[in-house]
Amino acid sequence: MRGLLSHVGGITWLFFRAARYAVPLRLESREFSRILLHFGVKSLPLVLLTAVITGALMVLQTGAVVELMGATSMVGWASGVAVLREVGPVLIGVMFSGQVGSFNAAELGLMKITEQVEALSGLGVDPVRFLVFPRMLAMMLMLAVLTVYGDLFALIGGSIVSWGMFDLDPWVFWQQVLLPHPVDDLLEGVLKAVFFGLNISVVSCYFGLQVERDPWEVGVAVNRSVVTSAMGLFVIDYLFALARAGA
Amino acid sequence: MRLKLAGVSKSFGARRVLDGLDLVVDAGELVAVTGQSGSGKSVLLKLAATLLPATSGRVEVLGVTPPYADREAIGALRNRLGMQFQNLGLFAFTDVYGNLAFSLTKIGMRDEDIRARVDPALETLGLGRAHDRFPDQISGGMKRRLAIGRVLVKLPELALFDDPVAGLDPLTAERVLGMIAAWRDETGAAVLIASPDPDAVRGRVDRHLVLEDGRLRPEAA
Amino acid sequence: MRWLGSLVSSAVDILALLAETLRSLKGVGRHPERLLAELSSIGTGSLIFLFATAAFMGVIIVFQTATQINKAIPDLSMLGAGFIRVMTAEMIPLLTGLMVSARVGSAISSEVASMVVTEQMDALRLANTDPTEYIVAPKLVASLVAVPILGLVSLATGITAGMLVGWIVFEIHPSTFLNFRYTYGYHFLSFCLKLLSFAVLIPLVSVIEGFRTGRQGAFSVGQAATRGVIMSSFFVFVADLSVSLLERGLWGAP
Repeated sequence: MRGLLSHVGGITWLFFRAARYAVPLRLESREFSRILLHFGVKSLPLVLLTAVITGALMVLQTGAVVELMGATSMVGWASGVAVLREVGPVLIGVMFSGQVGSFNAAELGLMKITEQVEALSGLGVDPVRFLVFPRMLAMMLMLAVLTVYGDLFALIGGSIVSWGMFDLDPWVFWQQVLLPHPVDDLLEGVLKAVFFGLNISVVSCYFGLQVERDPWEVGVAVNRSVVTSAMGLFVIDYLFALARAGA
Repeated sequence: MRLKLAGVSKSFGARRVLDGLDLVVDAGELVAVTGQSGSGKSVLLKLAATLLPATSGRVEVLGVTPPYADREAIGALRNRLGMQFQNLGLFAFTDVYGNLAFSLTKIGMRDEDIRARVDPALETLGLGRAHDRFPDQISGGMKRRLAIGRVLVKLPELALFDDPVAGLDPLTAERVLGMIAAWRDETGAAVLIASPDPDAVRGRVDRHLVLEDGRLRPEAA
Repeated sequence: MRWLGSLVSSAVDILALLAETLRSLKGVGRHPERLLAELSSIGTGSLIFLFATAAFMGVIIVFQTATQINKAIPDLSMLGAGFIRVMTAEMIPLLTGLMVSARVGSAISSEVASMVVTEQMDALRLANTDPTEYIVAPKLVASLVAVPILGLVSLATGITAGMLVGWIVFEIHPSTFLNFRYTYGYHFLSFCLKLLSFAVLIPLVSVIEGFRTGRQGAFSVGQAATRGVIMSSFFVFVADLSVSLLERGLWGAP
């Protein structure tokens, strides 16, 4: 753990180096679209499937508690808020970190071993501009979109379970979810997801680019990327909670 | 007759790698098999090491048909074999000394006897100073010597080397092959070497065969 | 839909590997050094990580829930009770499972893949050593010991962190907060069952992904590492849901 903390400096530095290309925006659009397709589309099925499971789990648990407190009418509302603001973004973020984050770290690690990164520098292209920056933007965008879809599927899972376990009509469930105009909650969740995407992309790029010679190091890069971004996810989540309390 | 293959074929699904191959290696013989990359040299060696079963044909290692189904028996047979793998197969979970000693502990040798055998070997291999380092901490050349050393230290009756001099300069390659030959002289083991480079092994071996189209033929001079 | 077929075949492989590993279990005693190495890697290596994430989770949940409840009915007296129940039955097991599969899943699968690529598995077999007994079984045993302990530590940490937040920020006294009224025996049984299934699934799934790797060096290792995380976290979700549904089905309402 202490070892990982020492990487925080390097990760922050990489972020600033990449962020430089945001203003003015210098994006390799072909690379950007390729990454969106390559990473985003592939992770969709599994993320959605786990989102459904997550939604079901959420309702199972909170529904039982809410029931205990005798407030069945709040099942839909409680699930809605919880999923949109908290559980959705965090769990989808964790899945994304596992899928896309590790895939990214492995890909960049392989590029380092096959000396492609060195070749890029040799051609006068900054690897941070060509490799890191597009991935950063792409993952922020991807995770925001995936979170929206994921929230939807999670709530679907939740409605199925409420129906099965608490005999709550899906129509009523959805009314409970949508009536309090949860747009704020949804947007908060999406904003969180954007930050999660930033966290996962920079961390996975960093560890991928740390790989030097041995194939074994690729596995290490993936491992460190997943662990560090998971920690980062929770820290970001905590900061959001603090900000909300302050507001 | 330490190794005998008669009409041996080996297929992986639809792909036939070895096709009715014959080979005999006697005690004290040093035989080289060369051939292009992908010709099946590694498959041949692993088959000889009883790590792969033949699809058809007769295989006799140290005079017996390998008892693939009996773990105890095949383990006992493998204790008398040694192989240096193309990808080296160095154990990442133990150090240089541990790598050399590993198979000896499995044979059931006592620690003192293992020490007595491994320590001098470390010197001969030039690995004495690195004895407590792990495989990922030593140079490529040292890794190679360690992989070969593991075979020599085990004192097998049949020793197999898959591409022992890959990437070595001609002088070092010569030294390595010399070391293997000297070891063979001392122990009388049967030795089978595979290499994609015929020039590296020529002249150093008793017999030179070429693996082509799944079969062996003597190398035309 | 091809990935669905891949999931099913994974399930079959898991059962096969489990059977083979159980058979090799008695041989683990022959290599105590392996067991210790795995315990250290899986257990103590994950401790601080889980400690931190569990604490964060406890804090965040209490924060969010208390703020929300305060807006509706300003009575936080039962918050602790509900919180402890949800943490025990769901959040902590799931968190532990996901964090362990993140950390351990990729490590095991890339380690195994790396060993396959460098022919260490072949070298082990030639040295009269069964890879399942020497490599896989110690991981399973270490996992069965470490994961439940990690879960218990996380639970204690998470609840304590939540309690502290409840006390400091929302002025809920610890004696009010630490209310176990809503947490029943079968919730704890769920907790244990979930952790045990994670302890079995994570190493086995990761080992399988490691063995499934091709022989293309660094590419295969990276691919195995990725698949190790993905598959083990997926199976964690499935196991978690199954146990939760089972609990609900068997014991019904609160």
